[in-house]
Amino acid sequence: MSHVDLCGLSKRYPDGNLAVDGIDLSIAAGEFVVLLGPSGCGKTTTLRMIAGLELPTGGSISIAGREVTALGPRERDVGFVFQFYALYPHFTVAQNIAFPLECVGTAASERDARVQHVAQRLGLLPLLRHRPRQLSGGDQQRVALARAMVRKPAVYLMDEPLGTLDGARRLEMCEFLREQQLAHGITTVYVTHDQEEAMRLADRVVVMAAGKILQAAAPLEVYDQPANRFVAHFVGSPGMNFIPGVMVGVDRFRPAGGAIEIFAQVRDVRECVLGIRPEFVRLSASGALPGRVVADEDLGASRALHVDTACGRVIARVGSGESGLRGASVRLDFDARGMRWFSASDGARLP
Amino acid sequence: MKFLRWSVLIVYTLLATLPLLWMAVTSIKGREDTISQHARFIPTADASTDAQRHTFVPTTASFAALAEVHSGARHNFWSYLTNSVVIGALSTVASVLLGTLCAYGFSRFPVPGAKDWLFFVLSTRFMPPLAVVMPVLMMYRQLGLTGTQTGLVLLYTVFNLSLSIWLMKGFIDEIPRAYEEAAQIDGYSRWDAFIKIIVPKARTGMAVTAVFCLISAWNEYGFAMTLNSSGAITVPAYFAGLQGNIDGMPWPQVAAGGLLFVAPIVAFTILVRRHLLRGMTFGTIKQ
Ligand SMILES: Nc1ncnc2c1ncn2[C@@H]1O[C@H](COP(=O)(O)OP(=O)(O)O)[C@@H](O)[C@H]1O
Ligand SMILES: [Mg+2]
Repeated sequence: MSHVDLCGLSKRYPDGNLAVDGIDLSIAAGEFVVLLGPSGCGKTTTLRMIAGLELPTGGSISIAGREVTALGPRERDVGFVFQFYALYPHFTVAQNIAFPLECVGTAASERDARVQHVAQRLGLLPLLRHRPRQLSGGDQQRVALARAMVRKPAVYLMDEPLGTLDGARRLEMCEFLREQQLAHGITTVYVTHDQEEAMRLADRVVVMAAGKILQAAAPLEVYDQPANRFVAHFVGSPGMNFIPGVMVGVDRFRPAGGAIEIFAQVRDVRECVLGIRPEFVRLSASGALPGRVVADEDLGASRALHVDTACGRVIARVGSGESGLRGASVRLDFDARGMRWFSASDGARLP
Repeated sequence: MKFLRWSVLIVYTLLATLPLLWMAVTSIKGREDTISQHARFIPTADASTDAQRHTFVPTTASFAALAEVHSGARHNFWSYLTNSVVIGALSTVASVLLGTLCAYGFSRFPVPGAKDWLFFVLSTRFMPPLAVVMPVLMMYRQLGLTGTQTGLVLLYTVFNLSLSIWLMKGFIDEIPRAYEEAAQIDGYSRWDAFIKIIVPKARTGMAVTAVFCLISAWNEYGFAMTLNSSGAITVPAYFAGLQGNIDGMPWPQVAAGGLLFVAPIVAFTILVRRHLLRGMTFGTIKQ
C-alpha cells in the first residue's frame, strides 16, 4: 500500500527557477526512502513540498490516502527535521522537545515522560536544561531529531539531519535511525547528498539531478544496475570509470585510443561507453591494457590506484597491501561481471 | 590609557548632566532664589539676607505646589502629567503593536508592490509634521477630537507608525522563517507561531521601537499645543502655556515638574537598556 504519493510534482520558484521538474514517486508505508543528489538538485524543495512548507506549482501530493496538496503543514501530520535545526532559541532543550506535544494538549505528566524517554534515547538527558545556543552543532541536530521523534507523525521528513556530525557520531546516528525505523516503522523521507549515508539507511534510494528523478531503487541495485552514467558516477566512491569507444563487429567493443578489444553484448549501437567500477578493474601481468600509476589513494580497507592508460584515466581498487605503486607501470584487466554499457548520446544504460 | 578614558567619560558626564543637576537644584529653591541676579546654587541651612550671596535655603515647597492649580491654568500639574502618561503609553503600545503586525506581513507574505508601500510609509515622514497642523486641526474640529486624549493618541500613533514599521521590519527580517515553519510543522497555526515564536524573538526590537515612539510622543509639543488648547493638555504644552502669565513663570515648580516629567523616560530607557543588552549578549555569554 502506498503511503506517500507524489504525482507529477513540480516547483517553479517565483524567480523562474524550475527546482523540481515533474517527479513521480510512490512511497510504501513504513518505507525508508532517501533522496540522494548533488547540492541544488531539488531535494530540499521536494521535501518542503511534502511538508506543505512550499506550494507545488504542478502535480499533487497525497499522504496516507488523503489528498494534501493544498493543505498547510499543520494539517498534514508530518515531522520535519530541518537542515539547520531551527530550534527555538528562547526555549530550553526540554521545552523545544515538548513544543509539539504542547500543541495537541498532551497532559504535563505524559509530556515529561515522553520528553525524558526520547532525550534518553538520543543521549540528551544532560542537556535538557541548556539553551540551543549553548550546544554544539551535532547536539543541536540531535535535539532537532528528538523534537520530531517525540511525536508519531504519519511521515518523518528529514533534511540532511546528520550534515554537521563528524564521522564516528554520524555512523552511530545512522545506526540509531535505522534501528528506530525498524522498531517503529514510520515512513521516512530522508534527504542527503552523502551516498554512504544513503546506502546505509535506505530501503530505497531515489537519485535526483536537476529536479528530476534519475533512478529509484534499492541501494544495491542503484549501485550495481545504475540507470545512467550520472547515477553510476554519483553513487560509489570513487565513482565508476567510463571508457568511450565504438562497437566493431557484432560483439566487440574498441575503446577510443586503446588498441584493445573487449567482448560486449550491446545491440544496435555503434558508439557507446563502457562503465566499470574500480573494484572490477584488476592488476594482472597478463592484462590487456598497459598504464602507469599516477596516484595512490588510501581508502582504509582498500587503495585506489589512478592509472593513466591509452583509454584515459582509470581507477582501480586494490587490496590495502598493494602500496608504493605510484609511478609503476602496470597492466589492467576488466572483469566482465562488472561491465555496464551506456549510450554515448544520452548516458542511459543500454539493456 | 585607562586614565584618559575615565577623564573623558567624567568630563562628558558632567557636561551632559549639568542641565539636569541645575534643574534639580532649582526645584528645591524658593522663587526669589531662582530670579536673583547672582546665581544661588549652594544649599545652606541658615538664611542670610546678603543679596550677593550664592547660597539658598532648600525647600520642597515647589513639589507641594505642584498639587495647586497655577493661576491661568485649569488643572494642577498632576492632571497634565496624567494626560502625558495616558497619551504616551497608549500611543506607544498602539504603534508598536500595529507596527509589529504590519512589519510581519511585509516581511513574510508576498505583498504586491511591497517596496512601493514601504516607501510610501516612509514618505509620510518626509514632511515636517507641523506643516499639516492646520488641516489636522480642521479635521479634528469636525470630528470633535480636539481637546481629547483620543485625538492625540491617534495622531501620535499614526506619526510613529512609519518608524515602527521600518524598525520592526528590520528586526523581523532577521528572524529566520525556519522557526515559524518548525512551529507550523509542530502543529501550530500561523498566529500561534507568531505569538509564541516571533514575538518573543522580536522583543528586543519591540523594546527599542517603544523607546523611540514613547520619547517622540512624550516630548511632542506643537500638536499638543494647537489641537488641545481646550483640554487634555500634555506637560510640554502646559509648561509653555505658563509663559506670560500674570504671576510670571513659577520656576521652582517648573523645575520640579520637569524632573518628574523626565523621570519616567529615564526609568523606561534604563529598563529597556538592560533588556537590550541581555538580548544582544545572550548568544555569546554562556551561563
Ligand atoms: N526560495 C527559493 N527561491 C528561488 N530558488 C530557490 C529557492 N530555494 C531553492 N531554490 C533553487 O532551487 C534549486 C533546488 O534547491 P534545493 O531544493 O534547496 O536543492 P538541494 O536541497 O538538493 O540542495 C536550486 O537551484 C536553488 O537555488
Ligand atoms: Mg538542501
